[in-house]
Amino acid sequence: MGRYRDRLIPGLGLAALALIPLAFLAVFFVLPVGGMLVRGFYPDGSWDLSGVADVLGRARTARVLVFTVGMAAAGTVLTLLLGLPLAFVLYRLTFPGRGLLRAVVVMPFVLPTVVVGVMFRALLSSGGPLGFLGWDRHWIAILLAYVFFNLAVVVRTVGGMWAGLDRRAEDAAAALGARPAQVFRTVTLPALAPAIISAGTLVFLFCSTAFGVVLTLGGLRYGTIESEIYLLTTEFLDLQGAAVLSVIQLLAVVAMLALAARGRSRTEQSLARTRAGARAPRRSDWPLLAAAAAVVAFILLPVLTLVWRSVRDGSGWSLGHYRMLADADASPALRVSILEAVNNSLRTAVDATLLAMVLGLCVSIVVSRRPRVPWARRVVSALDGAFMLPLGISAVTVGFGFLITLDRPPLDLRTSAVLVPIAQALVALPLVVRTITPVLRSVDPRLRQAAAALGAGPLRAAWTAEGPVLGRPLLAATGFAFAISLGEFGATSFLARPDRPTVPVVIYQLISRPGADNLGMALAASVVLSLLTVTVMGLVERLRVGSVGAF
Amino acid sequence: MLTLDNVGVRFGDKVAVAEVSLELPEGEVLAVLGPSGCGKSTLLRAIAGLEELDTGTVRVDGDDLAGVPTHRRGFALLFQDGQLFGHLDVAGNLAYPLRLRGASRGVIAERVEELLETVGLPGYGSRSVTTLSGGEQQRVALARALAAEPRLLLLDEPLSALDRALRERLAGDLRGILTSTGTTALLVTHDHDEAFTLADRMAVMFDGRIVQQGPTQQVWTQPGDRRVAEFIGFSTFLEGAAAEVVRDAADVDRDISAEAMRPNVRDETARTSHGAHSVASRAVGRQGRTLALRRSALRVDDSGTLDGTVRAAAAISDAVRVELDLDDVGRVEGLAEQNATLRPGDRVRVRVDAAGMAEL
Repeated sequence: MGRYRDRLIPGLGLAALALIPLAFLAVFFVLPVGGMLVRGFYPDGSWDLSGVADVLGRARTARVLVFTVGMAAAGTVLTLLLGLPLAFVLYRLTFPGRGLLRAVVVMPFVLPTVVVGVMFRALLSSGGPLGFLGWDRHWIAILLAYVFFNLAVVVRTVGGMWAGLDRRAEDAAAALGARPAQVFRTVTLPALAPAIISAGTLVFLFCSTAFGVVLTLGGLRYGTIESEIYLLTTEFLDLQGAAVLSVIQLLAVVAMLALAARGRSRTEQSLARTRAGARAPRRSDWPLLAAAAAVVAFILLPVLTLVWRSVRDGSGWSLGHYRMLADADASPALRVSILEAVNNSLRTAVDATLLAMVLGLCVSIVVSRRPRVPWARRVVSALDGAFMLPLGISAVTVGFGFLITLDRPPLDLRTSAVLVPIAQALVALPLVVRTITPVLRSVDPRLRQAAAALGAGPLRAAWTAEGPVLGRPLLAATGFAFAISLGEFGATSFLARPDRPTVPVVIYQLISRPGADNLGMALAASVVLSLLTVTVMGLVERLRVGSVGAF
Repeated sequence: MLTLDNVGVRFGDKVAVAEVSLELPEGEVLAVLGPSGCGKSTLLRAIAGLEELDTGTVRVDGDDLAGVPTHRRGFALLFQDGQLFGHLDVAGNLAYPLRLRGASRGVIAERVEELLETVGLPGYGSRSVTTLSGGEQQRVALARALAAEPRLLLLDEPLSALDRALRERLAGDLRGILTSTGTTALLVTHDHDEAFTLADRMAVMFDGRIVQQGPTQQVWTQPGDRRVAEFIGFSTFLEGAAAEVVRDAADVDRDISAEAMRPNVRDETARTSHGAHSVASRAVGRQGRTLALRRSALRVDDSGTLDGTVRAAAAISDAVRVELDLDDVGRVEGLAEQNATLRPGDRVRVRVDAAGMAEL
């Protein structure tokens, strides 16, 4: 009896631990998304699927799908092409300043999407350094922003694997007579394939569900699925059309996440038996070094342009844009001052971070267990997948779903201030889990068994084995969640009450209006928001957990 | 065939290899033996063209290889863990160098079968390399290296990752394959048994420098100094009177065992002259030199001439290792028969076998 109880209690504990985040996911993810779908397919108490064919048959839908997939594919290919040389230089070579460069490359990934949009507007609009190209409000601008935003994913994921790749396999091939290009094609590339597939899938996923970037750079001129869902729900109130697109997106996202998970498990496997192989640069590396330098310049250009233009007005250097941040009446586009919005953002982000951390820790502990029973293992891996879902689902769908399902008792949260933090926590949750889980998984289960054999109870044993390594990833995940919450735009734009906007929402309102002052204030606000996120992420980076942007 | 002249490699301020000059004739196997971190792997990589030389030259048949990239040197590399390409099956790995040379499909298939035969893995072509045992992986890696028909095969601790029994068996096989294919090979290892089994010539390396080189047998029996001697398995070092006692015992024991082996032949002259010769040659300059002994030089044996007290005994794979206090000599290490039951304090007789002795 005693032995049975000793085995049952940890099991029940884990189940209870899984129930908290599962309940959250059910109420705040499945319910809203489901509600949105029901509104679309089951409008008047009966199934109505006639609209599916209708929506799919529309010329505009086809155009939106083609544009979304085409742009995401182009963005993925371009990001991979530019990211690979950078990954090589940053992870296979050693040189002074490498750590700083790595941080620069990761920075765009943590910048709020709206800020990325503003950066490229500042770069490409008339008056910007590259204004003469005429790419403002052009699809090329969106493509460039995709690459800018996602380079970190490729560099981190592929670079991490590349750094651990045993360079002796390449040596063996070279000695057998393979030219450097042949070595790369026949040995290095196949060995990196899991990481490249995994990174490519995620980049494609992020590109095809991008919302803030598309909206700020293209307005509603270019429709991606995500912006089309936004348009259909907010402008045309065509819930059925939006539901159809949401389902298409959901299916695609699930497929891609499954693909990425396969690549990831293979990455983890192959990382188990490797040794480091970074070396000093040689003369023959200069083409790659040059390519990497060009990519870094591409990353720095929009950032520096943003800062530069934020301190310029028509006549010269000026801090005028920053002075207006405190003024609530500075622009007719605003109902509150930007400083107040910063205050809102910070408060919301703290709540969202707290929520995401508690839930994320529960999820991580559960999915990092490796039960011996096959069915339990399957449950664990299904949970792992389930909590990745919010990563790819349309934030717009979630946001709108909140509005239409949480609007009546017992859950009438429409006017409540908790909706925004909840939505942001949902968005941050997968990234929190991705940061903590690998660390927990890397703890040898035998350590826990050894503690148990010495007389520690289940909780005590887990704490002894895993507690000491948890500190850094917890801090890193906290910073990550905070940065994500600060920059979240898709869901927040639906849910933030007009009198309590967050900074990204304010920036979007500013930039979607004409006028030099509006742009100037958007620039200044973007700098402030960037500083906040980059500072937080810089602190995280100092912890050297090394998982930001790597999946 | 391969000539190294004053080769040096440095990493920043750290000198990894210095003033290495070596000669490797066609068809022979040279072992560079040294402790881990002595720079031997760096030397191997420098020969392969994977590290840049700081000083000196690497020549093959008189041609300086400076500026010749790795893939044009016509060498092959074999690492301790094989470094097979995980995305290719066994046949794909073997075919890799052949494909680089543009061989036709038929030729490749034929050659792959032939090579698998050579390394004792016939029919393994379609196996995935991840399903192979460590020994099988090493055999496949060897076959892949041989497929390139290298002018020079470079082996980096080829057997170190294998367990003991497998290592010994594979070492014998590897030697046979290298001999039968006439392959010129350079091997770096920290395992003196591996070097002894595989190599015709041996070079001992400490701290980036070659301290002794010569035919394997010569290095094995005449280590240049104490450090080399310790590294290749000598465990007891004696000086002065203690050394003299053991030398004398060795002379006596050699005569006794010669007699015992030929009980019916009483060749007085030969025996005397042999003994006189050895005594005469030894007497010159052996005073003041250190006598180095392998464990195998001191055997616990009732026919021996030395007496001693057992301090400790422990069974090893095919003998018993004994720590002894030899009368008039002091603390030494020796061997006893596998079935010997020795306890601390036992008095035993010890026979000296000159084959395990060296004068330093």
